[in-house]
Amino acid sequence: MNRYTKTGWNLAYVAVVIGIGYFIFISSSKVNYIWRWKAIPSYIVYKSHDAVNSPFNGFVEGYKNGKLIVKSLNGKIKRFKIEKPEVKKGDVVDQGDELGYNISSKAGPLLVGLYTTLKISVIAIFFAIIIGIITGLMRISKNPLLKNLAVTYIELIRGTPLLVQIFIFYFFIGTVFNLDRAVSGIGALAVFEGAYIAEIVRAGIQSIGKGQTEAALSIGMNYFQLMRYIIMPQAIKRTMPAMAGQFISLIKDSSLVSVISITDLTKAGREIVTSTFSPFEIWFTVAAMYLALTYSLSFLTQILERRMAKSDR
Amino acid sequence: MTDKDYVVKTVDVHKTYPNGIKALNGVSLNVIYGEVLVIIGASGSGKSTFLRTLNRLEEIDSGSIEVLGTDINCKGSKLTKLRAEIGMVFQHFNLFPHLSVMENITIGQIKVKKIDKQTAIETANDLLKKVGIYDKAAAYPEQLSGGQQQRVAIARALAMKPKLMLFDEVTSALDPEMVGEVLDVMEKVAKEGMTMVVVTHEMDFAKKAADRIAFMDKGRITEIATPEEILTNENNSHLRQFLNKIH
Ligand SMILES: Nc1ncnc2c1ncn2[C@@H]1O[C@H](COP(=O)(O)OP(=O)(O)O)[C@@H](O)[C@H]1O
Ligand SMILES: [Mg+2]
Repeated sequence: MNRYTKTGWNLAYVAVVIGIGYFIFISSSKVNYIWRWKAIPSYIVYKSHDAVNSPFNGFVEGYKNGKLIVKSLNGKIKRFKIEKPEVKKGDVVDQGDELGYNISSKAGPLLVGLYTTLKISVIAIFFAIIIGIITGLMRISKNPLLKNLAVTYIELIRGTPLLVQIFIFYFFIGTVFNLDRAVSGIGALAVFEGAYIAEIVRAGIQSIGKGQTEAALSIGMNYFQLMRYIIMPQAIKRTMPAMAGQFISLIKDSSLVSVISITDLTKAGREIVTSTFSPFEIWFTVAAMYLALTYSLSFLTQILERRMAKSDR
Repeated sequence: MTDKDYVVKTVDVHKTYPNGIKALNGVSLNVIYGEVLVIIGASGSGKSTFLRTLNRLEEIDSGSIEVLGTDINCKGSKLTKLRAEIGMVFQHFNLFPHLSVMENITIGQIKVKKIDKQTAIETANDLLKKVGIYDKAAAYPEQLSGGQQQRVAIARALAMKPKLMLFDEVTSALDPEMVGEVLDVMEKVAKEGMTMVVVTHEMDFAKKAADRIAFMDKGRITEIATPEEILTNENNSHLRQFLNKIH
């Protein structure tokens, strides 16, 4: 394909994307929906007015350099940092009266939800990696007990829906062991993704040639040293892309924990939708926030992969 | 000669692979201290299998193998300790690609023998000088030629201060112009009195370095004698055929 045809196809791509966007726009304008994008940013970050009240009776001396000067009845002078004063020089204030307010940016429910999603995902990824490495090693073990346990676990987890597993974790395991709902949710996610990571680990280890194992054994390494110093470092490097994909899946799958009332990004979105009449805008925004999270992750792993590739040429 | 003089002592070793191929069919063989034993034989005759049973990379079905006075049929730390005393060099080098040349040579010393890093590096430098690639310590295996990689592999094995070295066709994967540099190193090691079992087709090396040559045929050793006797043997027709073919 020469350069010009390629450019042509790229232009066609842009045209198709614009076309689809226009189609969505036209269809949505037919459903008699009033778009209210204006309110949306405040669900992410909003300006909060923090009132400053007078601690004593007195009167206002003046306002200078963003500070309100108040003199108490017994002659004590105090300065208050206030952005928007609501009293002026000479005013008499009683104890508890509002002197003015400061404006600060606060995280809105969507940002708080995003943070919860991120936190749940990071913790779940951490445990999923541990579970995945252990069961991945068990899976390729020659010992039938370990191997069968690993196979059973992997098959059970991969054969049932995550949503059902979350319910079982929450209603059954959570009740039996008296677990917090966050622990149940993170646990379910870690156990679910751990099964997939186990398969990635297994494939990664098996992709390392037998010669590596033989060379390591021949210099007297034991199983642990063989895995720790020879096989794992190479396997991890090779499985990076698959691992990154799995972590991205986990972030997306974490939206399911909203069903057990964990206020993650999805639950936050649902709550806002029920109290406003802007479901379209909210869900588009929620989707964009997930995308930002997953895209940053894949960007990070690409950098990491490039750096690792450099380190052993 | 007493049992103590043997580095390797094998009695009637049999090995059948799970796929039914009988690779070893009664191998009895002794190697004494300081001896260089070269094993020759057609491809598929069981040379690699035999060599690999000596450090238990391959399990045997029956018979017995004693190396350095220890029954090879041991477990755990006894086995890893024994393996650390048996150096092995492979046809395809099997260097650790994620480690530098220096790390390849020091990792066994540090992790297995618990030698401190500084001493390990000194040992590695001495060995790199000996095998003639002192300037490549920081390189990664991928950046080296085949001949250089194989010399690193020899240094890696020697770094464990083994009492026995096993070589399995270590020059057959090399470009012809690199065979010489590897054989030179092996000769040097042999001259220093190392006990060696060498599987090779390089008859010039065998003539120069071997104390004895064993001919392997269908999982058995059918001749074992001095290089001269082997090369002039007229009775064993399989040996004759084999020698004619590789010349
Ligand atoms: N891992 C294995 N599994 C099954 N058969 C094998 C295996 N390794 C070697 N063999 C077979 O055992 C026989 C001896 O092989 P090998 O010891 O490699 O011979 P050589 O090194 O003399 O060429 C051959 O027929 C070979 O195909
Ligand atoms: Mg072979």
